[in-house]
Amino acid sequence: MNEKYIPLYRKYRPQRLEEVVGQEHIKKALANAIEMNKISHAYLFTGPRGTGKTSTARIFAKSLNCVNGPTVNPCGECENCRDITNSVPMDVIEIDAASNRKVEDAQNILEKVMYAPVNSRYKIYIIDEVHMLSTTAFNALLKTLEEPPKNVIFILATTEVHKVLDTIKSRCQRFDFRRITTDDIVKHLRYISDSEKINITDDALSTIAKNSAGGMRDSIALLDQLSVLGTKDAITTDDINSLLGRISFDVLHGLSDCILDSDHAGAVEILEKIYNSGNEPVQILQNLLDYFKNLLVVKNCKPEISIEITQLNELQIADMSKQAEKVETHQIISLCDKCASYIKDLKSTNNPRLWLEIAIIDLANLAENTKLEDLQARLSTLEGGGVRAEVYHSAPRPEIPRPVAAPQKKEIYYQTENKNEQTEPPVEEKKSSETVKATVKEENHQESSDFSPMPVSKASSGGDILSLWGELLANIQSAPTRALLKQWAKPVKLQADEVVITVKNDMLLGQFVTGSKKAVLQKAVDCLFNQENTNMTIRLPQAGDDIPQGNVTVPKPKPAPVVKQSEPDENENIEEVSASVEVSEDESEDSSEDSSENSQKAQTFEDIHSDTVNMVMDLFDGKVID
Amino acid sequence: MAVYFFYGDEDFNIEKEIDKLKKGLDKNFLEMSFKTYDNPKFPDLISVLRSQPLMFGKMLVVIKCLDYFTKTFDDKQIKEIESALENNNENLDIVFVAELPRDGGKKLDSRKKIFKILSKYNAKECASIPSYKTAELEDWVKREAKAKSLKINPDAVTSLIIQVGNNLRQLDGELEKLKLMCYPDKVATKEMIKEICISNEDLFAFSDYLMLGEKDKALLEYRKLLEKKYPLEILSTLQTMLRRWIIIKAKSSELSPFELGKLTGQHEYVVKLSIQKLKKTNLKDLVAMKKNLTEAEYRIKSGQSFNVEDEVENAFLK
Repeated sequence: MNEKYIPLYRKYRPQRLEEVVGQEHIKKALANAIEMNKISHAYLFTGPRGTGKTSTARIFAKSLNCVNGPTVNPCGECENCRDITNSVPMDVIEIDAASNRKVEDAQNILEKVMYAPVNSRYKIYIIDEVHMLSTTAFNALLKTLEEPPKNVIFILATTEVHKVLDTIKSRCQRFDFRRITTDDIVKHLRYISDSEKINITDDALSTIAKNSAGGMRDSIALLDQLSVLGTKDAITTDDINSLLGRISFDVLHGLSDCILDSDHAGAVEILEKIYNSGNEPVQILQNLLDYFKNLLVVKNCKPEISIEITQLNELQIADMSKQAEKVETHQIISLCDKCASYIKDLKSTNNPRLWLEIAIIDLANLAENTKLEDLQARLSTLEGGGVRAEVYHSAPRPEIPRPVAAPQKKEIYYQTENKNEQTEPPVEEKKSSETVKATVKEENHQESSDFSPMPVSKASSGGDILSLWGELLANIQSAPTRALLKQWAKPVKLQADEVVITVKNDMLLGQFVTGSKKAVLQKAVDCLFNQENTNMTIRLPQAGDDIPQGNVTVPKPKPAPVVKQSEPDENENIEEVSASVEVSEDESEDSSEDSSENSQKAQTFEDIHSDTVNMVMDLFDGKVID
Repeated sequence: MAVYFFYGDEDFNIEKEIDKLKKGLDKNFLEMSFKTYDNPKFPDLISVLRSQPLMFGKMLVVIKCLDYFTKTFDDKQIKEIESALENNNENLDIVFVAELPRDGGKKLDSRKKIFKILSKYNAKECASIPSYKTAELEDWVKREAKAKSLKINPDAVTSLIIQVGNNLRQLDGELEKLKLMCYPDKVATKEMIKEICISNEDLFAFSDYLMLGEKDKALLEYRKLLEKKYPLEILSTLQTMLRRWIIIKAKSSELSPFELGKLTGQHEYVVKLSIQKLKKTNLKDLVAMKKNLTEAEYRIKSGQSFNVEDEVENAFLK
C-alpha cells in the first residue's frame, strides 16, 4: 500500500467553518457563539452520515484552542491547530463511543476530566457515535455533562439521536445537521475533480450526488473509486452504474417504471441485469419494497416533507413524483403488500429466482387496470353496461347523500327497456358496441385505451330511438313542453353527434326554433348525452324521414323527497295539454320543484343528521350516542 | 436555618430554585458549602440534617428524597427527622427535592407523614405546564426571552412551542441558540425557528395534524414517534383520541363542553380546544379513519400484517 495515498474524503476534509459544505445555520450559530464568547459546556451534533458533524467538531475545537483564538478563522499554523489537523492533539480527545461503550470507559474519561488542559485554552472531548454508549455509561457521564469542570467542553456526535438519553440531550446544545443538497455536492465534487484532474462529466457527478442521498463522504469516496478507472475518455454515468453493482436508485426507478406500466418484458429484462450483478432475490424485493414505500410517501406528502421522511434528495423526489402521478395510493399499498408477501414466500422456496420472476410479473399485472376508474369501468362492463359509472380521478370520498329532484341525467347513456332486446342479432350488437366505444373515447380522452370496451347489448334500431326519445322527454323540466313534444314531435335521429327532431307544424317549429322552448329542449338533449351544445335540428317532417313506429314510454323520474306539495308553475302558457296520467304526475312533481327547494334543504339536513347519527351509532354499537 | 421542599416533574424549575439559593453561598468555598445527597439512608439523613458548615458563611444541602415517598419511616424515625429539621444549624439551608419522572402522570402521596412534615416548610410544587396550555407556555417563553434580551416575534413563539413542546429546559436551550442566531440585534422569526431549533416527537402534534387532515405532516410526526414507541402503542392512543373526537364532533351541537367532557372523560378546556380544532374536519372522514385503523389493528393482532409499522402508516394514508 502506498503510504502517501490519502483518500480524497480525508484529503478534502474542511479545515475551516466556511469550508464546510451546506449547514449554513450551524456555521452561523457557532461563529456567533465564538464571537460572543458564549461557549456552551456541551454540544450535540446530530444528522445523517457524511454531513460534516465530526469535521465541524474538529474545526470548532481548532477555533477554540487556536493560539490566536478563540476565533472563527483558526490560523491552522500554530501547534494546536496542526495537532488537531494531524489528529494528535493533547487537549482535544476524540473518543469512538462504538468501541468504548462500557461504563469503565466512561469512568476513564471522568477521571481525566478533572485535570486542566495541558497547553490549550479548553480541554475538548469529542465523543463520536455517542448513541453506542451503554445506559450505565451515559448515566456515569450525566453529572459531569451537566456541570463539567471549568474549561472542559464536550462535543457529542451521533447519527441516531433518538438512542441518546433524554437527560443527556437536554443538557447539550443540540445542532441538527441536514442533508447536503445535490447542487452543493455537485459543486464540491467538481472542485475536487478539477483539483485532482479527474475527467468526469457533469451528468456523472450528478449521478454520484443522487446516489449518495445527501452524504458528502459517500460522494467523494465514489469519486475516488472512479478516479482510479484511468480511462482516457471522460467518466460517464454508465461507468458509475457498472461500478456501483448494487441496486442503485436509477435501476430501481427503471424497474418500478416497468412494473407500473405493466411492461412485463422490460421488468424481467431489468431484473435479469440486477440478478446477474450479484444481488440476492430477497434483497432485490426488499429494495423494491422500500422503493414502493418511498413512492407512497412521495404520493401523499409535500416534497420538502418527502425529502425528510424518505431521506432521498430533491432530484430523486422529483423523479418519484412524476412516477407517482401514474398510480393511485391504493395501488401502491397493494404493491407493497404483495411485495412483502413474496419476500415471505421467497424465504421458504428452493427456487428463489423463479419466484422472483413470478413476483415481478405478478406485480406488473397488479398495476394494470387497478385504478379506481378502471375498476369502475370493469364493474360497469360486468353489470351489462346500462349505466356508465362516474369516473373518479382520485379516491372517492364518502359523501352525504343529497336528495335530488330531477333524475340522474349525466351518467345515462343508454336505458334498457326490456330484456328482449338483448336477444338481437350479434352483428348488430357488434356495430352498436363500436358506436358506443367511439362515443366513450370522444367523451373521455383520459380513459385508458387498454381496458375492454363496455359491452352494449342494444342496437341502434328504431326501438332504441324510442327509448332514447322517452329519456329525452323525461329530461325535460317543463311538463307542458314535454306533453307538447310527446304529442306533436317525432325523433328522426338521436345520436350524440346530431339530433334531428320533426314537429307537426310551423307554429310549433317557431316555438322550438326561436321561442322559449328551444332552451328547454337543448338542455334536455345535452343532459341526455352528457355534453354541451349538442348539434340539434328541429324541422318539419320531410319525405324519406325514418320515423320509428311505436309507443313512447316516458320513464318515471325518481320521486323527489318532497315534503309538501306546492302550487303548480303558472309562468308558462299551456298551449295544448293532453297528457297522460304519467305526464300529469310528472307535472305535479316538476312544477313543485322550484317552490320545494326550501323543503328539500330541510330534508337534506334531516338526511345528513340521520346519516351521521347512524354512522356514529354503527361505530359504537349505539352505546355512546344513546 | 431554612428548610425547602421542591417537588414535581419540571426539573428545570426545581434546578432554577436551587440555583437561586446557591447564589447566596460564598463562591470561593462552593465545593465545601454545597452538597448533594441522593436518597440517604435514615442515619445518614439525620447526620446531614445536623451537619455544620465547614467554613465561613452558609451551607446548602440538597437531599434528593423521592424514595422516601415509597418507603415508610416508623414513628420514632419521623419524630427524629422532625426534631432535626426544627433544630438545625442557623447557617444550614436544607433543600428536599422530589423530582418526579416527566410524563409519568404520577404525584407524590400527600398522605405520607414525611410529605406532611416537609409541607410545613417552604414547599413548592414545580409541575410541568401541560402542552395544551399554550397561552401559559407562550407567556413563559416570552418572559425567558426577555430575560435573555432576545427579541422574538409572537408567531415565532407559537412555532417554537409547536416544534419543541412543553419541556422548559429544551425551550430554554433553544432560546439560547436563537440568541446566537440573532446576534447582534436581529429579531427571532418563525423561519429561524424552523431552521435552527430542534423538533421533538409529539403524539399530540401527530394527532392534531391528523385532525386537520394534514397527512404529510402527520406522517413525519409518526416516523419520529416510531423511534421511541411501538406502532400498536401509537395506534391504541390514536384510537382513543379518534373515539373522543367523533363523539365531540357528533354531539357538539347538542351538548355543552362540560357535558362532552364528562362523556369523553376529558377536561372541559380540552374539549373546547378539540371543538375548535375539529371545526374544519368532516365527521365522515374521522369515522373512515377509525375504520381503517380498526382494520389495521385487526390485521396486526391477527398476524396478517407483514410489517406493523407500514400497516399503521397505510391505514391513515388511505
